[in-house]
Parts: sequence; structure tokens; C-alpha cells
Amino acid sequence: MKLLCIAGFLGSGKTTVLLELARTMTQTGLQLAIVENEIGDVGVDGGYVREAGLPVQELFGGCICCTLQTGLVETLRALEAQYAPDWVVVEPTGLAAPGDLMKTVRTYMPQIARSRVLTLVDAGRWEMLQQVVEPLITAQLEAADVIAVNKIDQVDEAVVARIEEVVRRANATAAIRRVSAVSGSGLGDLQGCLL
Amino acid sequence: MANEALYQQRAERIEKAVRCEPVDLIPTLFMGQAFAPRWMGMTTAQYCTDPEGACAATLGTLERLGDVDGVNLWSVGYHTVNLSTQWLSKVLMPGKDLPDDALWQVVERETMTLEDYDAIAADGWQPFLESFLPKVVDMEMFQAHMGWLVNEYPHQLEKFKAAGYVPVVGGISTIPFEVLCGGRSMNSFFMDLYRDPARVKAALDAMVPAMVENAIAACALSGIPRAWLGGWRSASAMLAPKLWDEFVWPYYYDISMALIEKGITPVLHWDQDWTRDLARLKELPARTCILNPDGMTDIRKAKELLDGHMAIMGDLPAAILSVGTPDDVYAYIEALVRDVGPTGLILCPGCDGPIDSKPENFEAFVAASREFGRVS
Repeated sequence: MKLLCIAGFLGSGKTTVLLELARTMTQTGLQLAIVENEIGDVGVDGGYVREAGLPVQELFGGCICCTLQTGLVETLRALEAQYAPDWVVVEPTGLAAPGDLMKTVRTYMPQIARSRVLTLVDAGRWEMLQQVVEPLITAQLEAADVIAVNKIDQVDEAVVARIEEVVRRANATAAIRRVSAVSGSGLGDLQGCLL
Repeated sequence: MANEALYQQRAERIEKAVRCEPVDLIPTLFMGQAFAPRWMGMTTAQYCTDPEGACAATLGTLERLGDVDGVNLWSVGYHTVNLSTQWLSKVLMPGKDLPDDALWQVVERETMTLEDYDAIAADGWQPFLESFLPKVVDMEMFQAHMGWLVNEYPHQLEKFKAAGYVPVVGGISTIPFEVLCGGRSMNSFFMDLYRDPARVKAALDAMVPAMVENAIAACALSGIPRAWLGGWRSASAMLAPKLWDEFVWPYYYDISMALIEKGITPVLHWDQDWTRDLARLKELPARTCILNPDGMTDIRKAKELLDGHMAIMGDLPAAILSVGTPDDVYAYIEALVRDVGPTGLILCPGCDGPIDSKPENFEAFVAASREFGRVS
């Protein structure tokens, strides 16, 4: 079983990207399961995921703070036992620091063959997020294997270039891609880079 | 030793730790709000709707664990009412919205409007709260909750004392940031901080007096001179320093000082990572507060900065209790005592022992704490 964690602040487009990735991954014959703990308005339980019959597990964290990590480990163990999927795609709350989450998973589930962290950057709200929650955004960038600058359709080229500069300073080794999850632009390339 | 004498000994041990004085044994506390009912064979649905039963499950857990000095926070009254009032949020209830033995779930949705900031600033916190609560709480349950606190809570506390266990927390509070961040939802609240900080700040300032008053009243009612001051949405790991300095720390400082002036010890129950700003705690008077991190803050850095100035309570991570082994627990507690003890340390689960904690890990926590925590 392999693990893909999709991180990013609330409203950065994680669910939209997840749904698109789920669609294309299952079309290539991969068995998928989904774990979500997003606290926004868009759930993954509708639309394509339901039609495809993919197992979706919701993570309950009580007051959504410290117990999230342990809930994830137990959930992954249950999914492995029940479905043995090729990939589990995890969408943690946009407030999660994926580094801590993955550290816990790697410690207690060493049998996971491969784990990848995709962090989405909200280009449309970059300035606001930098000024308000910069430590959280930086932590999400630092933990990433792949960083997707999303919503590039909402800003001009100069802004995207500036964002990429900051992103690169936070994480010198991650692959960086530009995408628009809503239009689908760049998602094919992103999937190739991730898997 | 008779329970009364045991209680006195344990209470004194905790007080010495708070004052960073030498102890015979490092105090050890239980905290596992959802673990206790499950271990005692009670559903979370019962736990949320039967306050006496919740107390009995907690006390039963202490007795089953045996040699602990007391309990940090546990469910007092109707648990989901506490959560709703703290975060101005609806809470999905086991037995009603969720299966009988599921974990309750705070719903992160916007319940407050932008105009509500103005109403709080103009009218004060208490009038706003009273008009707002029906949006997020079943008011019948709220009335039952308040009645229980006044009429029954003191009797329940006596049962803990009679059994020899120290209830550490007498009142529950937080800073205004945490409350309004819940009500607006994090996404909207953070945008409000960016777009209209003055409007937010006016509301935060207006909330402080009533929040202090409520915390003092709760401590007076319980007779326990310690108040839980929680936080995680306002953690250093979340917020940019400039905003933390303006919207977070001044409120922790002011509320803590107001409590300290009344002889109440603030228990700074800080979930998430607060390492960046730990040095600010030195601004509070020495030996008057407890820092209670959850395993994410660098507790060794806290010891380095606050040694002799502030007691540290923690911080066995939830992950170890839930998916670790007794050996993991032993290793963690041994290192914690070596690096952070023996003075000014109170051993406790970080944040809250999760619902699926392994009982053998809690037992190992108590055994390891007593083995490595013996000073003389």
C-alpha cells in the first residue's frame, strides 16, 4: 500500500485536486481508498467518488487537534486490512502540518511502501496567507515532495513567479508544478510527477 | 494511608511542583476524556448526556489506574455544551448525530457574521453570548448543564477528594481569539484578521472582562484555584509573529495576570507547537502558572527557558498512547524525567489521551511515571 497526502491551507483546492487524481488513477486500474478530514464545505463523498464506489473514510478528531494523527494510523490499518488498496489518498485538514502527520504514519506503519506529500499553494490568496499564517504555510511547503501552485488562472505570471521563488526557498528539493484544478490545467503533469 | 491524608499529600506534591520546589515524587495526572468512558464500559453518548456518569467513569478510571495524583481536565457537566460554548460551534453528538460510541466532533462551520464583531464590541461579551448560544447549543441541555454545575458539580468534586485524587482544574477558559476563530471558522477568521484587524480587535478587547469574570466564578464554584486556559488555533506554528504579538499574547498575558491576582493558577493548555514564543512566558510572574504542552512544542526548550520560573505539565503524545507500546511509553517517560525533571515537572498525557488509547499504555504511563519519577 502506498500513501499520498494532499496538504494545503483551507480552500486551497485540495478536494478538487483529489477528485481529479482519483478519477485518473482509477482509470489506469489502480485500486484507491480515500481518507478525508477536510473541514471546508466540499466533501469528497459525492460525485465521482461515489459513482466509482471508492472507499471513503472520514477522520474524526474530536476537537480536531492532537488526536488526528493517531486516528489516521488506525484508519490506514483498517483500510489496508479491509481493501488492500494500491494507494490511499489522504486529505488532512488544511490546518495540519503534514510533516508531523507523516512522521507518525512512518513510525507506526513502516509497511507503507511509499509515501508522497503534495502541498497545494493557493495563488489567489498567497499574500493574505503569507501575512497571516506564514508559519503553517511554510511547514506545509517544507514537508512536500511535490508542490503545486494552484489557481494560476486567478493571478498574473509575475505573481506566480514570485510565489515560486518563495516556495523554492522553503523547499529546495521538491518538484514544483503550476496547476488550475478548476480548469484541469497542469493536472496530468502533476499526476505523472507524483506517482 | 487514609484517603484524606493521601489527598493532602498529593495536593501538596502538585503545589510544590507548581512552585518549582523539590518533590518526593514527580506528580502524575490522568487526562483522557474519551478514553475513560470507553475503558469503563460507557458509551460516549452516555458520557455526553449523563454528567454524573461521566464523573463516575473518570473517577473509576483513576481508581483502576491506581497510583496517580489526580486528574487534569475532564468532562464537567454536559461535555458537548462545553465544547460548543468554547468554540461557538455546533458539535456532532454521539447517540444523536453519530453512532453511540463515536467520538464527538466539533463542526468547523461559520456560525458568526462579521456584524457580530460589532455587536460584541458595542454590547459586551455576555449579552452577545446569551443571544448567540441558541444557534449552536440545545438550550434545554444548556440550562441542564448550568444547573448541574451549580447544584451537583461541587458534590462530585468531593467524591474525587474522598477517593484521594486531586482535580487539578477548577474552571475552563481560553483567550477571545480561540472563541471567535471557532465562531467565524478558521478560514474566515484568518481573512478577517487580514482585511479588518481593527474590527476584530475591538471585539476581542470587549470580551476579556467577562471571560475573566467567568473563569474566576468557575474556580470559586469548584473551590479549585486553577483555571485551564486552552489554545491551539492561536499557536505559534499557525500564526505570523506580528499577529501573534497583537492578537494572542496580550490576551494570554492579561487574562493570566487577572487570574493570578485572584490567587488562581492558569494552566496554559497549549496544543500544537508554541516553541517560537515560549520565551514570552517569562513575562508572567515566576511560579504562578503551569505550561501544559501536547507533545508538539519542544518541551526541552521550554525547560531550558523556563526552568525555575514555570512548571511544565506534559507531554506524553497522544500517538504513543494510541498506537505505541508500553515500551514506547517507558522510553518516553524515562527521557522526559531525565531531561525536564525532577523539579517543576508534572507528568501528564499531552493534550488528551485519545479514545482509542490502549489501556496497557495508560497503565505503563502510571508505572513508568512512578518508577522514574521517584526523587527521594
